[in-house]
Amino acid sequence: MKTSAEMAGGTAVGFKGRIRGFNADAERRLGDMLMAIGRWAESESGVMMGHIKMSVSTDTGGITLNLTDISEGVLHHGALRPTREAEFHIMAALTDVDRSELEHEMMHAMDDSGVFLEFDHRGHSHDHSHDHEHVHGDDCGCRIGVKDDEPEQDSEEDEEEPRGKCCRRKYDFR
Amino acid sequence: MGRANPYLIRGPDGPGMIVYILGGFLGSGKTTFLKTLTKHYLDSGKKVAILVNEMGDIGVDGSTLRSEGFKAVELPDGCICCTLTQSLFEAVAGIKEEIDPDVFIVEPTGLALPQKVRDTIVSTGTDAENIGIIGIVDVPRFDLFMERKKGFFLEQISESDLILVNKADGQPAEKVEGVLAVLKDLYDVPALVVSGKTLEGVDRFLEALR
Repeated sequence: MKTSAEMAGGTAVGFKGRIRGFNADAERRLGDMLMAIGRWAESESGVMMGHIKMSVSTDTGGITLNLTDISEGVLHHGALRPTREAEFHIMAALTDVDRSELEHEMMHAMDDSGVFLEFDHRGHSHDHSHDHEHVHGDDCGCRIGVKDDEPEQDSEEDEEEPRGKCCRRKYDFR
Repeated sequence: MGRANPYLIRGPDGPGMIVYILGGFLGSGKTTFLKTLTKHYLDSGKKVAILVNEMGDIGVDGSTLRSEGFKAVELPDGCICCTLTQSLFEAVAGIKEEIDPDVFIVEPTGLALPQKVRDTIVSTGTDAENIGIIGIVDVPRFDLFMERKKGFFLEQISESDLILVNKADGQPAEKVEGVLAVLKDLYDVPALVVSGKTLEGVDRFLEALR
């Protein structure tokens, strides 16, 4: 029997952690980050259906960023003074996208945002065309990222540049 | 199970805990109306309990509500209409015992079927007549949902006791009328045109909860 999410073709991914150095520029960058995720979803399924939300808060207040419609842009609610450290939560609940790819795109969007986001410890596991799963950034010994016509490297070169990185970046989960 | 109250949703002036389940697709405005309802009843001196559900293991609404001073129970990592029914059952039982609220507001995920949430709440011994499903539809994206997710979208609001036609502000009158006409054709329940952003129609909505 299908779950309701399966019936709707939906999935969700979330992260939480701490943001260092929150200010107006960071808020703008976070808005751009949500748009980047939304545009990826749009490119995947033709239209972004669902929502992408983020909250940044301290004991004294917080903001929420909400994207439900690419043409409308990110809606900002609440107020938060510049602060050295705040808590963040981000989640995307979308339809017609692959969960692993969504998680992966969110990681990259956060990395590209230019905002210092420190994640609560969490493994990020996905397949990325591998026939197995492993943690983001791990060396797994497979040949992802190596062109098909590229000859096998000898073991000495392998040591200098390990093959089989899960993707182009490593993430620091604390 | 049929609709508990086919025309108006019962308010919290009678005996027993009143439950409102906010149904609607992702991004339809459920959280906005959760806050509207909560503020309304808190201002009226009622004891309110909130339960929010998130599909992912990490959500945003619980932390947002807490940062705005609301006390909310959060059930993450699944759907309370199917994969988390046992968690919902236990949470409702706990809320009744520990908080004993006048009003209990439940926001399932935008991928949930609210009628299934109602069934689980009824199984805790809550009077079905005291449970109202408030379906929320999004005017700007109504046609898109009908085109891409028609079956699920219509099932999601099919057992609503009241439908809020949300985000009507700034939309052409004919579009809003078109949405109302489709809903009227399908469902024998009142539909109110509202805007969570401009608060248009919100007073009529709150008056409907009697």
